Amino acid sequence: MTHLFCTLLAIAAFAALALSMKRHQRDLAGRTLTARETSLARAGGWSLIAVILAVDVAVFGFGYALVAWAGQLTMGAWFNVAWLCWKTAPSRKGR
Amino acid sequence: MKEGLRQSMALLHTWTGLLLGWLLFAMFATGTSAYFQDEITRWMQPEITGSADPVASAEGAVRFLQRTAPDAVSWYISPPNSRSATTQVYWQPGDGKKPARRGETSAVLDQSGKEVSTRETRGGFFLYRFHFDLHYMPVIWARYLVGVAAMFMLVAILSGIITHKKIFTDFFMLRFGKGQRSWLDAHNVTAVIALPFHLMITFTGLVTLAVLYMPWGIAANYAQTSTYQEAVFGKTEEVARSGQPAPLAALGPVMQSASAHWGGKRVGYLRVTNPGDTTAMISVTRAPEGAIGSRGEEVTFNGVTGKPVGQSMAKGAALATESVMIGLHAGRFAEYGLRWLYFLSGLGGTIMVGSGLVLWTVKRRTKLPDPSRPHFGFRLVEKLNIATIAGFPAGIAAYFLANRLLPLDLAERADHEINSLFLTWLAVFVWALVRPSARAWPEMLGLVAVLFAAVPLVNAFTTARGLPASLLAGDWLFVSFDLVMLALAAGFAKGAHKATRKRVEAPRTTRRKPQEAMTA
Repeated sequence: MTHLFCTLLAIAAFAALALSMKRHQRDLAGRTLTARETSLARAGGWSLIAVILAVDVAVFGFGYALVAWAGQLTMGAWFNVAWLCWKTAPSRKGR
Repeated sequence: MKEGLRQSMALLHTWTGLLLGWLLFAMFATGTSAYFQDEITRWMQPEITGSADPVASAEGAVRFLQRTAPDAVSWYISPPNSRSATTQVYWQPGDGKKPARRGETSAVLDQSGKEVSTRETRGGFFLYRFHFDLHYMPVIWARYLVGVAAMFMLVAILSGIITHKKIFTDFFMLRFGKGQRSWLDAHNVTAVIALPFHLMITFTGLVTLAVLYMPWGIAANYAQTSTYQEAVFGKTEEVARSGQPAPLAALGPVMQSASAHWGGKRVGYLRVTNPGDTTAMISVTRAPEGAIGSRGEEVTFNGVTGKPVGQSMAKGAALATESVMIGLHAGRFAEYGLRWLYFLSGLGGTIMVGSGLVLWTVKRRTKLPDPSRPHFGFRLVEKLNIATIAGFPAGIAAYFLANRLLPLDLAERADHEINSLFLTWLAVFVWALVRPSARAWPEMLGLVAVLFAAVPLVNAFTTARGLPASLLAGDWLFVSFDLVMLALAAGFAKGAHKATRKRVEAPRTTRRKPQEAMTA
């Protein structure tokens, strides 16, 4: 259950990090973000990543938490890649 | 200078990645499956259902061993754990003779100590062993070969990081339908997103066999390997039988006592020496799921009184480091949630190796002087790519299908299952050789999709544990296995579809020969 929860947080974390990148803003938010919003998204993303580690450490203990954290972040990042890939697919734009 | 470094690293990355890339693909695929080796074994032994109590099973095993091998030097009992339902036992015969076959001194038992009757299979254990022992060749050569491949992998990862210009800006970049750029994206994304996993798994993989690859440290300090073993792990003294019979202590309290010693962690296996004698000893080893680093944590009991008499020596810093690294690699400590994360990361690694292999040909195809008649090296890589990326997964699907389809009473059945893996792989290789590559790709990827899709179907027709039945029964192991097969089938079907469409789009690329475009 912790894994699921943390993976969901990781999805949010990487979505925020993707939002903080100029090249993905139009695809994700439909517009370019202001400088303030961009830095907010970046700070939010990194903080979430730290929060996930804190949750893992609290639940599993330090060693196990590090392994779990790496795995959850990987899944979170993957989900965002897949989502961006789907949103920017030529078939959705062209036709 | 900076460009010079990057270019030389790119060269290094290309060739260390390619040379043993096909072996690495097979190693990654089987290694990934090995995270679920117990579950695969259970799927491949559909006759065994339910779960079993470890203590009752250990006591059942003692009854079996007292009947079968009362005068053995030692018994080894692995009671069922959270992931299995059977007890594995093997014994060292008392007369000192080596058994002709492994099966003569081992058995798989149910909770009551009766031998289970199930189809003969090596299950997930075979895939696990293939990961580093390969097959049809001496184990020692396989391990050296695997070690060289892993070293290449490590070099490829490190040089790849240097070569990859924009790790952070391209972090989320995956664009389909752009030819070479898409393959590069796929390779980068699979590599970067699970980079901690790839680095960890490759380095710790080398550590698991480091003593084999670098024996000189031990050779320089110890006259014999056995002296080293004693110095590091402690001495196991062999005590001769006294000849006076004495009943064996009940295993239940012994297991509870050992478990309490480890703060409630589970028992992995038990070793009973000189059973039925006054000199009997019981050694209890902790289950590897107890901690990340696990290396034979053991408590020893007097075999007659059941009183604890000793425990394994504390690990030194080096051994503790090594055992944590090996633990990280094998993931035996992981419960199901983390196990799935391991599995998915491994799947990503397999895709990384596969996409890297394809990228080699995609990059070079446009630069060929005459793309319709590529030179030998290019053709070889292309054929080997088809044979491995489609052929090896096809082999694994065939292994599962053979488990369900081969006659149950076939002699050497387990070997035939394994042979069907390699025969299928060979067949795909031959197909790749005789067909034009542009056609062989979609055909073979399609074949893999069909084979994987067939696994749940055949399972439903040959056992009572098909997907609808297992869903109703809440048999999540069988449900998950079937769903993973269907997901793999969908993935390969998508791949086959893409490979077909690529040929349709071929006329757009100007350098292609019209003849090749016509085949679309």
